Amino acid sequence: MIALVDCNNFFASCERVFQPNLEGKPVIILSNNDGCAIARTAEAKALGIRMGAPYFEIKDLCRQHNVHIFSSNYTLYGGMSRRVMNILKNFSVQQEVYSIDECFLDLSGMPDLTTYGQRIRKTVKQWVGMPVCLGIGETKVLAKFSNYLAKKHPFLNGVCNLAELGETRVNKAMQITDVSEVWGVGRRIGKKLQLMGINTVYDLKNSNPKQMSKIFNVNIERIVYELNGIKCLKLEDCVPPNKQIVSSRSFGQPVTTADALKSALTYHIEQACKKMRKQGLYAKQMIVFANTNRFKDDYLSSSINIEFPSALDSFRYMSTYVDRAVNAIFEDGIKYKKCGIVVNELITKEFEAKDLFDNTTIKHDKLLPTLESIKAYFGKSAIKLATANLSNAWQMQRGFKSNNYTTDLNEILVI
Amino acid sequence: MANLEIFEITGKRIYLPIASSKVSAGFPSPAAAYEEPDLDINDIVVTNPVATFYVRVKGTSMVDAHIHEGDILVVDRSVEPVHGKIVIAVVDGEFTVKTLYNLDGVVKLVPANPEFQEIILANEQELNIWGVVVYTIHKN
Repeated sequence: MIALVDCNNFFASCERVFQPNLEGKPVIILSNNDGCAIARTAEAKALGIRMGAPYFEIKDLCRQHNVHIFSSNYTLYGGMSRRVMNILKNFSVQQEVYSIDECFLDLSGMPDLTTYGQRIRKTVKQWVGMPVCLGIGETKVLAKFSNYLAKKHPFLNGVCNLAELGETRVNKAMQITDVSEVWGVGRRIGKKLQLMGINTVYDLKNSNPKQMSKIFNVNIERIVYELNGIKCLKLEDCVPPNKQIVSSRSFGQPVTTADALKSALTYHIEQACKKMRKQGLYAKQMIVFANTNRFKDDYLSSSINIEFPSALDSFRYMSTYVDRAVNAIFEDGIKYKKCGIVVNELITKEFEAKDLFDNTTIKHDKLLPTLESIKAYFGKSAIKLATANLSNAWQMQRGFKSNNYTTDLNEILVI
Repeated sequence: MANLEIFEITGKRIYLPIASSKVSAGFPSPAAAYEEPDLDINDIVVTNPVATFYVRVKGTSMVDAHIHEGDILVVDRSVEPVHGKIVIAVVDGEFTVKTLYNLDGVVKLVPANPEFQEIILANEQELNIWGVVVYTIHKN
């Protein structure tokens, strides 16, 4: 049996752990630069605040109903996610972390899964204060559907075990649930299915898998099998390594100087390199881009592709191309809204040694471990490239950010 | 010949290199086979890292329990909050650190300073414990 564990309103719940006075009150989390609502508690949803609603549109409503507003604090959310996933890992022989707030657990061989599920829920709630829901089913697709039911029906008390619910009730639930709710179907294919008369989850379950494969693709065929309790999708321990890595972000306010672009790009290169080093990847090239506000008429986007003479994973080496990139794309009098880098053609160390037909070499930066140690010990801004400090006009707007309660000694709870 | 080694650092801990210099002549160290990692304060104060949080103290309501303003409390949320434990409780949405009294149906949060009042709760249901204080870090 497989369980899908999903945190309830994850970002908002993280904030509530450290501000318990927000319990039962409407809370929303805004996207980077405080653009739009990306997480809402049940109370905020009840006020009619949509997912993705622009902040300027809901500002008055928020003030009127005393909605508590937070800028996204990914440092805090990432730390809380790590804790939740670590706790969950110990309840299962195998775990697949699917996103920041959900994971699959293989519960094969565990007796009395409903009780076990409640124990998992209680432990996560007590140890880190995070409310979670569990859906248990024979396959990943069924576990996901089961989780949907657990969230929807309060009488289940956060744990839905399809085996315990029984076939009749499960079929009934499938008959009243829209087909696009099925994991992997989505709205676009859901619409197509409905045109074919497949309206509900139950209809899809009883469709002909081979025919589905012909009309759509093998993924939909697998979903049909999975809905029937036949395992097609395995739990994946680790995410396959990235084919490309992107680091980009909108500016807090329009940027008009080359220096600000250089500092921002230096930051993005460092972020991308951090991700690459975690996965043991080296880049053969990078794309540097900058653009203006997409929603304005004079939208402008420019980019440059830079190939490295050897594959790199060092932000020090990659940053030496920042000047060249900015000189090529920067224009005076333009109000830039966003910039970033895309690193692609990523290779692993083994690749260098094995491939006879490609003479790619890797250029190692021997100073990197030292720099990383200094950052780990003295804080991540203890040592920087000078280009990172040319200008901070590009920094994000985070007017409502909470403290980094779990990662910064100066920001822990004060009681 | 001695060569330099980079210290491996994980998080905020520094691990000193176990063998940092190569000895090309002379006798090998007789201690080499007996090397063990140095003691680490983390192993003492943190038993369950995923459930451990740090909290800074403000106020004087617990001075008689050796908890002073500015101290850092190590809070383990996985520890059962039983009678007599020092706890972080939530009262009316606000945090407070007190000693938990829970005997014979009487539930209260007791300060360790005669100048402060006890907080008496109607029953166990009203009790909202955030975590149990397992260590106090105090700078002398």
